[in-house]
Amino acid sequence: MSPPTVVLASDDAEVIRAVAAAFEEEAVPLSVVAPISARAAALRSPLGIGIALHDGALAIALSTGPDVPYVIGDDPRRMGRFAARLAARRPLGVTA
Amino acid sequence: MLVAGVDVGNATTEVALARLIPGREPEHLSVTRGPTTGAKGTAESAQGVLDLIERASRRLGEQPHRILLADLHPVETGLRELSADDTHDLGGVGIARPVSATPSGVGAAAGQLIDLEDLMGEPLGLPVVPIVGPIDYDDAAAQLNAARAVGWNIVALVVTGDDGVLIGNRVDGSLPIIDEVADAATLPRGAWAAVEVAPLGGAVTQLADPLRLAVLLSLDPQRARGARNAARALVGHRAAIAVRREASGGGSTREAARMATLRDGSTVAIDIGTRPPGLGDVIAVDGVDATLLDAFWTALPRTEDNAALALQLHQRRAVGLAVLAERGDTGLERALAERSDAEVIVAAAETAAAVAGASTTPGAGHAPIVIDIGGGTVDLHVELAGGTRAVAAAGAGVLVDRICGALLGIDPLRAERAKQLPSVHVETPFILRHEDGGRTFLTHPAPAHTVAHLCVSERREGSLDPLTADLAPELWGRLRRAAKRDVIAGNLRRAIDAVGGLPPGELAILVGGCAEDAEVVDEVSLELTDLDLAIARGNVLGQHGPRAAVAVGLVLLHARGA
Repeated sequence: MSPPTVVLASDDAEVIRAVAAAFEEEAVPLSVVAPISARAAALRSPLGIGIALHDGALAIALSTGPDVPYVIGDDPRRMGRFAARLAARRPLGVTA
Repeated sequence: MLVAGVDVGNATTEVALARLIPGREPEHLSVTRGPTTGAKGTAESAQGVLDLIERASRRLGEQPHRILLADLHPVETGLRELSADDTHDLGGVGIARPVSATPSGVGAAAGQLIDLEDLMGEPLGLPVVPIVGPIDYDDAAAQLNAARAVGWNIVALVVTGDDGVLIGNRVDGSLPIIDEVADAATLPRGAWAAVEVAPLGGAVTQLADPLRLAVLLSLDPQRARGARNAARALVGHRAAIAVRREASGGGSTREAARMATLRDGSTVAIDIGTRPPGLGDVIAVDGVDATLLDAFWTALPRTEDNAALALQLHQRRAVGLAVLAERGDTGLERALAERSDAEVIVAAAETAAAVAGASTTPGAGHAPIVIDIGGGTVDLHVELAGGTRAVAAAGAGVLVDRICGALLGIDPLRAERAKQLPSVHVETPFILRHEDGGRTFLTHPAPAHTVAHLCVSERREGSLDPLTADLAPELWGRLRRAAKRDVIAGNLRRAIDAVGGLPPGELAILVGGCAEDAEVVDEVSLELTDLDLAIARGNVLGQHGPRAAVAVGLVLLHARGA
């Protein structure tokens, strides 16, 4: 049985390495799929969290609620940390 | 004649406008409320009064002819953490407590601090704790593995960035690694250091024990005793590092507490281990330049839910102090007289006005016992066949604010909201956990900055104010209620003792801003169960709740005397 994962939709090797590093550091499982929207990635994620490129930036989306990105940012390591902490239920370290 | 009854509190000013016609009951026209400007009773506090009168008068198209004030006694409230001024000699042991939530490995180990780059040379032949600066985790892991292969005995790691697990996974998953050590650059290279990482959900045990810490750092038995302050400072932390420095005595210099002078000339320290004496017994407090009517102090609430938190709260030596002073001037009266066309009159004592106002509560008739819980004082007014007694005890809502602020590490304004409003823990963007363990499921996600935080929750607005304090809502709720019990219910007991007790079966009406808080009402009712009183919340004029009792009461007393 595969573990519940957050889904990253990307084919950019640098983005994948940085996001995967953040997930490894937070000890949260991640799976990587071909590019789709963040919302679509979230719908594929058993944890309901997806990451994908969105208007030139990275977006974290949730599988439920409004179909708008939950968090948007440029730094893939930072965005990976946010998404992993969201899954692990730890404070994200973002400000209002 | 139009009159304005004015109650200037420590936090809130209230104005009751009424028309007085001889031979008739007063016609109550409005009650307005706003924050007190400046300290209660000073000229600065006149501005808030005039603003409220102007606001109410504009609606009526008429200015009041008289402004009715109560006889005021200002309260000064503060909270001081004595430990902030203590000096603890760590016995030649430097410590750091990284904030990272993701250290790597488990266990404790000690070795010599060296830079990662130093691993390029010959092995030292002793355990080492390399310090990894801001380099790529793959590069760092490669260097560490190469060093281990040639015989370096690496027993732990200190990592500057958030890469502890990444490096651990590439070197040795069991190696204790602390990361996000911001001041790693200042660690003394060549010094002996001990690193410990506790299992998930645990706290360090080796470094928090002075003897084990001494063994890890190779300190002699005498220095082990001196390491107690360092060990104590690490209690409750999941990961930590301790570094051996030059030997020192390990002593502590405790900041001297302020002293209170009592009526009989004796003194008592204002500290966490002492209790305030009876109401009115304190006549002076060090550093307070005023003749005092009362002083009250209390420590931060105790918790039995969490030993580490209990120790941390105790170590802070935080004491909240409220002093009730004799007024030295009539700044408010003079400022109002100068800046208003109305005649300014000190119409009555605050507590007499509170009784008159509280007695307008539907069904109360004459309220013989009124408890006015405001920002600065708990006032008790008793009018029974045996006579009239009125006392004011220093310390009420504002002191609770100070304690809540100290517990949560927030400013007084946010603390006041945290005192009044319930808290929630944002478990996921869609799930809130409440203080009773219940859950709310949201249809729109909570903001990202609130996730996994304790938040003050404004039910009507649905807003969430995230706090940095790592407390479960259940525990925070208990601490908040304990603060209200310690200050307000405890102070009310002092007031009751001062009037010689209360007769069982009588009606006691709660008024004042704090009486709007259901938790305060609960704590007061609980405190007074042995007195068998009928405790009810006031509803001034049947429409203002427990607010504005003094302002309305001033109007009523003036009308009766007019």
